[in-house]
Amino acid sequence: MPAHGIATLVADATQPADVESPAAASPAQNSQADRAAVAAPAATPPGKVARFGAVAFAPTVAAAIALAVHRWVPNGQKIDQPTRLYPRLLLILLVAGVVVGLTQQLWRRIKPTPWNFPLAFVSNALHWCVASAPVLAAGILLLCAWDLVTLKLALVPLPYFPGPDAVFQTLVNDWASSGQGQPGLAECMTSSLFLLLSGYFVGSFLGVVCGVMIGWFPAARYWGVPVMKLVGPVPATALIPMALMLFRNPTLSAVWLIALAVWFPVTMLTLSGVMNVRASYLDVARTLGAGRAYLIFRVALPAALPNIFVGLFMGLGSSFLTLVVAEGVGVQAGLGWYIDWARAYSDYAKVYAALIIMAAYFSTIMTLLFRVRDHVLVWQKGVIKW
Amino acid sequence: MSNRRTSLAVMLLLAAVILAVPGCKKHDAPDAAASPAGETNKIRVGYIGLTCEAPIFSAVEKGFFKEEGLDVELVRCQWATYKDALALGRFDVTHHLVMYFLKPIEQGLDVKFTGGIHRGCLRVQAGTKGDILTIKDLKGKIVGVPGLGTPPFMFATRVMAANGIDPSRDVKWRVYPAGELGLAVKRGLVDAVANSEPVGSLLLAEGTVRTIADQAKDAPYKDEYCCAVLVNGQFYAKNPKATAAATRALLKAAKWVDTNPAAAARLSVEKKYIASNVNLNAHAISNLDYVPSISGAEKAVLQSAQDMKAAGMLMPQTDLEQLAAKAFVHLPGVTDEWLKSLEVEKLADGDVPPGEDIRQYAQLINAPGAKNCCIGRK
Amino acid sequence: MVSGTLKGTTNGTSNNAARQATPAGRDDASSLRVVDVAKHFVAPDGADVHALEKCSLSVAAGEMVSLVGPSGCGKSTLLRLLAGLDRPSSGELWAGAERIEGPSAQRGLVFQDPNLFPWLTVRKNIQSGLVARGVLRERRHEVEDFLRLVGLEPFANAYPHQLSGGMAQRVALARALVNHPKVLLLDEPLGALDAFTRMRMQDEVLRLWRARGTTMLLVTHDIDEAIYMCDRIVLMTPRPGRIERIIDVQLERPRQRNSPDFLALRAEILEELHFAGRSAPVSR
Repeated sequence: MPAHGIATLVADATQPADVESPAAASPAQNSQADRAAVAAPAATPPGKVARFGAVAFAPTVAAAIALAVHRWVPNGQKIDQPTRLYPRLLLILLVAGVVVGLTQQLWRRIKPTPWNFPLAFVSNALHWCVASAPVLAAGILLLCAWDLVTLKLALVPLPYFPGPDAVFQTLVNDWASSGQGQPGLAECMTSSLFLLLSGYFVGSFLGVVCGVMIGWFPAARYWGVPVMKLVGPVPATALIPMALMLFRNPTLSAVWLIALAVWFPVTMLTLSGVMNVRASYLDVARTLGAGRAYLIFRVALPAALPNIFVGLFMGLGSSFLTLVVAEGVGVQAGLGWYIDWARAYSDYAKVYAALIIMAAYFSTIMTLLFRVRDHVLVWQKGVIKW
Repeated sequence: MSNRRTSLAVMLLLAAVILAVPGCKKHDAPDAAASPAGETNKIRVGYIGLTCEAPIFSAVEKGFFKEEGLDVELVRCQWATYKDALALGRFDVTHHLVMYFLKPIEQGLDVKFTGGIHRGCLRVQAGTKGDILTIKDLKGKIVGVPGLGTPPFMFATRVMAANGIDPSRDVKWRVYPAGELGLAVKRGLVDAVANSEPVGSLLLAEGTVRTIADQAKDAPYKDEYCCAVLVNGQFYAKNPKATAAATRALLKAAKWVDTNPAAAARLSVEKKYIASNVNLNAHAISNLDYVPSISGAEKAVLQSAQDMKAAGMLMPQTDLEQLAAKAFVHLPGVTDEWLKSLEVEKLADGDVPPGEDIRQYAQLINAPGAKNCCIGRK
Repeated sequence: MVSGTLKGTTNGTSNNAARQATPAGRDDASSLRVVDVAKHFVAPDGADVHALEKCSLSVAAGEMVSLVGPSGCGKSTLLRLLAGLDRPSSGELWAGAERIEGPSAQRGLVFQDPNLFPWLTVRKNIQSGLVARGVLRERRHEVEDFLRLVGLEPFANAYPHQLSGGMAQRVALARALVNHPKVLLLDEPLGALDAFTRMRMQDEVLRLWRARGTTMLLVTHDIDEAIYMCDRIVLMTPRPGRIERIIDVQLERPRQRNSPDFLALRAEILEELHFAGRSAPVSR
């Protein structure tokens, strides 16, 4: 039996299936070694200690530069009050950077277990900071550039381009309440997240169901495809009266709008995935004694999963785009609602604060979706990469 | 990891670009830069295509701009980005709602008011099916507005504050697109609405609402200017004379429209500035109070600012006198005295026949060819 | 002198001859009968294609028969008809006493491309037949036997893309066998493998056949393979696809690839198919 791991199976072809010989013990160990070697080439292997590098101080240097620029370059834009939050943030980053840089050799990647979870979390987080020092430094320099372009050199006009201090200050000020008794950013965040996730899950689920039905049954396809062609390009703004007529509850109207925006790409890609299942898979399944349920749920659906995930990603983008429109139908709070209000006041510090939160949401949900996909589509590893 | 950062940066940049660049129809705009020696006489006037913009259309068609020696180019824009289009120089001058611009000016928007065009287009209205008869009855109720921070919202807030209701605690606000406010009332989603012309008139004509506060009729708002002439700050700095000339042209046009509303309506529709029925248009125009004024506009700015600060809409550290001074500019040759001496023609068929009722709107709305130009916008 | 060539040869058109060739027990579901089957369809360019002209054939229970011929002779078509994946234009197909109307777990099929379900591990692929029929709980233990049978126990949790061609084909075999089919249909299963792997896999399949006694029908274009493995060889020729001749292979097992009898039979078949060089080959 071959003594190599799973990665080197071609060698096996030279040896016939000698069924009586015992299975080798090494493949299991070797495959683990293979897996370990392939994983995370960029980060240090688990257990290993990094060398002491000056590069870990890059964020500190960047923070120092940003602080100096902020302190000593005169303001070009006219603002009412001196800045507070931004320089304090830079100072904290600077001090933290020095501390982490000096202690960089302490932090290594530890596998988290229920016993050492807090320690593992801290150690892994700080190890990531050390390993990603160049990127963090670039991020801080980006903040500095933002400050320069807006507040310091006034290359771009108010009220459209406030400096970073104004935006951070808004994030803090508007957290609990955004003035005039209205909900603050915290409530807006939870409200929008609820709308987004509800709409996304409802739309995705219905999209997969409709996609499978339209893809599999010719009758469903006959009626379904024309409906899709009609509904597809309708923009959410045009559907607002319908949303108001269908639901008395503004939350339901908003969820419906988002679900519709998600439903379309998910259905399209699911049905294309189902229709393009390799006929040979279905033939094989039929010769194995499969009935219709098996063919649909155990062959067509798994085979269509790569397409379905593409649809899910597209649906995610659609849901964010529709959020702002969906929150214009009588909701009481939300990031889109907040942005509309801020734009009416031309208070763009608020607009950017809300956009930053939306971007954070988007990338987090996107990353989670990628993780789910990697787990579900584990069989695609090594076949297609995207 | 780099994926996340990239997407964050891209989203921010994209958002900034999208927000900053307003959508306007380009009319081969020549650079309105001043010749090195003196000022320009080319000016771009912005419009959306609303009934109440009759003075703009009249000024162009009746040659008032030409009289003042100006070479005018019209630029058509959209509601949503109108503020930004003016501030970023897509066009130079127009007239629009005072309360729409006041808070942005506090935030740094570079535009100036130069003269008052008309009074009264904002209303607070309650559903006919409910039992709300006065503003005081609004306590604890739900009010629909086109947006928090829009002029109808601000008007409603001011009226409530004046009647002892705390707008931030005693009422619930809901945001709906302007064209859907009627639907919201009919479905019972809101108890009352605040809106601007012509939505208010249309809802009255349909019988959906009754008015409980009217900026055109209730004191002290009836003397207050709803709309004023606005100019791009940098254009004004470079071309004060041209700004004054344009202001005069628009103010004269306002007076002309007040004298000849039917003729103004015909002009707006026939020359295809707005898509509407002539009679409907005439009615809407005659309901507005086109009495141009300088002092009135200045007072309006200060009064609005005071009420907005009281309602918590302006920042606590804002000095009102400074804000009013920054927002309103006095132009040479543009004064109330000049306005008083101004004469405009009175056309024989220029006026609306007396006794025509707003309820005729209902038939006119359903007449073919009647489109509501302002519906669906904030 | 050359045994095994002239006994029991048949032309593929006579019904009587077909019945004659089948031994007793033809009502057993392990035996197959093809009765006057023809298949034609319309090609994309509108031309009428006669994939199969009237063919008749009988396969006894436990026999290993191969269908040999150049491309276009209809051997794969015939196999698909026997699997029940297609319907004949005329004629009947029988599995024992039952008419073949559709696919069945009793007639397993192995393709040239292993067609393993890429989203399932090796173990799950093998047990997919049991899952499809809803008998997984009772028969789960058999999966381990099959894994051992094809020698892939260490790779039970591997995914198809991690396997080499030979291993994948072994999994496909195990998957087809897990339902204990009475008949196994193999459509050029070893065609994609290199020569050495192919020879080893041929021994593999023979081993499985001996152990289980399944009736096997093997489609191949490799004459050596047919002679090495099968009891009878059905020669088919194209345009239109038809059975030219059925040859009994009477060589003793295990067969020697370089024995004189083997080579003589090979020469005879090549000649029959006009590939021996003396006249133009069959494909016009």
